[in-house]
This record gives sequence, structure tokens and C-alpha cells, in this order.
Amino acid sequence: MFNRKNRIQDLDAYVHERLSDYIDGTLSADDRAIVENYLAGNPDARAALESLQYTVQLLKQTPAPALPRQFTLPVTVRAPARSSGWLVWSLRGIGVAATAAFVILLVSTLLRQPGNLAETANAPAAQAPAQPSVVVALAPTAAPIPITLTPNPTNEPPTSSVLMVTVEPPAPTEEPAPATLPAAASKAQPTNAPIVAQDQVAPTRTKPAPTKSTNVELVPPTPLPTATTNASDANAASGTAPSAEGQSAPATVTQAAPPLRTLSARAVEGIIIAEQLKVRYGPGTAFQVIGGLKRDEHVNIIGRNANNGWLAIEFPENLQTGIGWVGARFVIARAPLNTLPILQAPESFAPPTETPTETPTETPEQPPAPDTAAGDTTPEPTETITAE
Amino acid sequence: MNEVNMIAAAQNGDVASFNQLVRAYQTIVYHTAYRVLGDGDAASDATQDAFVNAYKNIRSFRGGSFKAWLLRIVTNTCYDQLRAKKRKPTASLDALLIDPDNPAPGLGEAREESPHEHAERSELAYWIDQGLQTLPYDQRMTLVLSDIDGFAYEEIAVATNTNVGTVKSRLSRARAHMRDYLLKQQELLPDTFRLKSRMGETKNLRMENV
Repeated sequence: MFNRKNRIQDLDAYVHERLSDYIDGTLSADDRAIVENYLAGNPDARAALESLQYTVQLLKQTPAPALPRQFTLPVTVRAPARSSGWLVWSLRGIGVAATAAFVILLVSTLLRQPGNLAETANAPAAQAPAQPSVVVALAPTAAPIPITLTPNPTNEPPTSSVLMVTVEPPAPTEEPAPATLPAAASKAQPTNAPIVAQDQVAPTRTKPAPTKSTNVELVPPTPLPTATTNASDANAASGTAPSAEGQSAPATVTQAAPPLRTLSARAVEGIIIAEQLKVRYGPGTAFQVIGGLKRDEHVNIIGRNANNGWLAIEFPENLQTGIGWVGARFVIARAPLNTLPILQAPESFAPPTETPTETPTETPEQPPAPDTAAGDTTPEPTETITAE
Repeated sequence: MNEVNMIAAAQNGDVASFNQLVRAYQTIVYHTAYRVLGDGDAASDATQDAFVNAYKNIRSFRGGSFKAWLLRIVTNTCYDQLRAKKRKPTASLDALLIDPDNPAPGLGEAREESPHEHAERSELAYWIDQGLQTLPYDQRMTLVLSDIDGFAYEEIAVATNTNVGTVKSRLSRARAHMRDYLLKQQELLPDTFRLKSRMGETKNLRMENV
């Protein structure tokens, strides 16, 4: 009798363990028969089944939360790693970055002693001053790197802008490993750079690291990076603007620059002041809405329309042009907008087919916001924009 | 462009193609993260991290179910989020964990409604979220993927890096736990379930707690 009671308890447990599978219809025929047989003579078990079914039903009816925003990546995100195992890569990246930083330090100390000649010999990209778009400031940028690389080993998104640039110069000489460097940069990114900046171009929020540029005489300060950077320059080119202290230099775009980035070289930072602001395909309410922005979001303003009523902002969501348009009165710009080029309605844009490529796009998208005002004092030609 | 082509393009560094995949999956990813983490902000972070990690490692995807592959990244990312959260607990998380037995504000009115009306009330979603947070992580993720997201056992097995048998047993335990948890919130469930099944145990538990 004791034995029988045990058997019943065992059977009860056996059945209860299988109720979940029974609901899903995944029991074997034998088990199903056992369960159904037991259920037929046992109201408690039936109640357990019903309540379980009801629970599953409730779960299935749980309403989906509204998507708070789009999670698309900015077009400036760098290419995926070549291999699996991101731990390995990030570790390797740190190693390579450390090596790179060391080499930069070494080169910089070497360069400072003999004078300027050595630099032109070593720097692979420092060509004739006639090509101001290719500018390498190897030595001056060496200092910030070891500092900025170490502090936070958190897994941050690949939105870093400047660190990439500063790390890269030694690559041709020492470690030609472009795939590993991004991993290092992602480690090195300041944690306060919010990942949420996906709807705009993320680097807006990351201020370029201070470049302690000293040997300005080596490389003539470039008042304007030519928008027609050759693709051939891309491999050799790397580096930051040698920003002469006097004039806040425009961020030098030296990689094979997709149109978006050359445009944004002179972008002005803006802040949305409307609660909800529609982003449209072109300058006017007749154009379709391609996205939305919220109050206090930052944008890169890269142009305006003829009557200044609409502003063109970097908007990677727009896969055709990479540009979105917002009503000018809903945006506060941090610098005068009259230096921005007047852009035409999107029809005139040729689709930038080459825009989202593997090209590392970590060059600074724009000068730091406080400097833009100063930068605006040097008027720049606007033809390059409309020519795009 | 179909999914295979999008993945191939993304593997070659085409962000635009990858973003098409993001658009296709962001709802399910966010929903999963939201239910597992029980917090919108953390879910946003986890979702974004998951897609960034997916893009970074897209070349390690070698065919099969992209959804399951992506969910595996989501699973890991959510776990990382949870650990980070535990290290630095927020007020909202504490509020979730402190006293699940207390009814939510406004729950009193719920008694007058039919069970089906209950099901659509936000209080129920609240209690489901509460109950989910009391589950061990593996069970919670399995339950969310299965019963809330509607994934197949095999996909869940890939996503949680285990086998179908484990998925089934986790699911079984998680469902039973959720049932018992919801039964404790008696107002939420139909009368017929209150005094039956495991109610004896849960009632006693409540008595002791009170």
C-alpha cells in the first residue's frame, strides 16, 4: 500500500513534468497516452494543465513594447572584423594598438631630433605640399594615444572618430593590420560617447582628442581639404589635421572620402529644439518623412536651402543621399550657417553608390563644436558640394 | 535583395545592407531584450549592442538561421547587460524585486472584469514582467523566446547554446514557475484556477509571508 502511494506520487510528478510538452504537442505517443490517461481520472492534474495552458496563452498574448527608436548603424561604422571570436580580436587589437603607440612615440622622438627632413622621409603619405589633402601629422598626435587607449575596456560601439586616425600612421611601417585597429579603437572609445546616436552620425558626440600639434611648419595648414580626395591617396593617407593653433583647421579628410564625409568636413553642430521633429527627404513638407528626431538630439548640419528655411543634416538613415532635411527654426546651430553651402533638392544628387564601403570612416567628421565658430571666419568655396 | 544577399553584402562591409537586416529584426530583438531585462533603457542598450556586435562579427556567420545566430548574440548581450546591472543596481530594478506580492496600483478594479479583459490590461503585462524577473536567466530567456517570441525549440537551442532537450526542460520549469507566480496574484486569473493545482502550496507560502 505504501508502495502504491509512492507509485502514484511518481506518476503524478511524471505527468506534471510532461504537461508543458503536452501543451506543445511534442510528447511521444507513449507519453501522451500516459498523460491523457492520467488526466482523465485526475481533476487536479486537469486543473494544473488548464492553468498551465492559460499561463502560456497569457504569455503569448503579451503585447510587444513599442520600439523606442531605430537601431540601424550609422554608415560611418567600420567594417566587420575579418575573423570570428571578437575576444581574440579585441585582445589582438589592444596589442597592435600598444605596438602602434610605441612606434609612434619612437618615431616622434626620432623625428624631433634631426629636424624636418626625417619626417618627409619616413611619413609615407606626406607628399608635396601641393596636395594639401594628404596630411600626416605623425609626431604631434603621438602623445594622446597611450592615454586614451587604456582607460576603459568596455565594449563600446565603433563610433570613435579620432582615435582611429591617430593610431593609424604607423601602420604602413610596422603593422599593416587595418582590421585589427578598429577593435582597439572600440576599446578606446570614451564611455560617454552614447551609442544611441544611431539616427544621426554618431561621431558628432565624440569630441576629437586634443592634438598637440606643434611642428606646423612641416605641413602647411590646409584651409580646405579638397573634396576630390583621390582614392589612391586612401591607402597612404592617414592622419589628422595639423591644426595650426591660429585658425581652427577644418578636419582633414584624408581617407578615400565618400561624398558624405567630404560634405561633413564643414558641418555645423546643431541641437534639435522641437519635441518631435520630422526629417524629410528634401527641403519642404512635400517631401516624404524619412525619420524623426527628438529634443536635444545633436545633428551635423551640412547645408541649407536657398531661403534658409530648411537645413540639410547628416542622416545615414537615408540610404540614397545620406542627408535628411529639417525645418531650420527647429534647430539651434552652434555656428553661423551662412557659410554652409546651399544644397539643391535631392533630385540633383547622384546616389553615392560608393558611400557605405569598407573604408574605415573614423576620420573626424567635423571640427569640435567650440571651434566651428572660429572656423567659419575663413569662408570656403561651396562648389565642391553642388558638384557632388 | 533577399536575406542571404544582405548578409553577404554586410560581410563585405556594406552597412546599408546590414541596416536592412537591422530593420527586419530590431522589433523582435528589442522585444526579447525588453522582456528578459524588464527595463526599456537596458533593452535599448542591449539591442544596440547586439546589432553592433552582430555587425562586427558578421563574418563569423556561416549560414543556417540568421535569426538564431543573431539571437545568440542577443542572449549574450542581455546577459552582459544583466551582470552590469547587478553590479550597479538601479532603483527600478530594486523596485521590481522588492515585493512582488503586493498588488500593483489600480489592481483592485480588476476583479470586476472578465478574465479575457484582464488579459489585455497592462497590469497583467506588469505581473508577467514581474514574474519573468523571478526566473533564473536561462529559464527566462527560454520562456521569452518560446512563448512570447514564438521561436521553435531548435532555434532556441541555437540561441541559448544548448540542446533541444534542455530547452524543453527549461521551458517546462519556467512555465510552471510562471503559472505558480501568477496564481499568487489571484486577481489576475480565473476563479477556476485559484483553489486548484498548486494553490495549496502557494497559499501556505503567502500565509507565512503575512
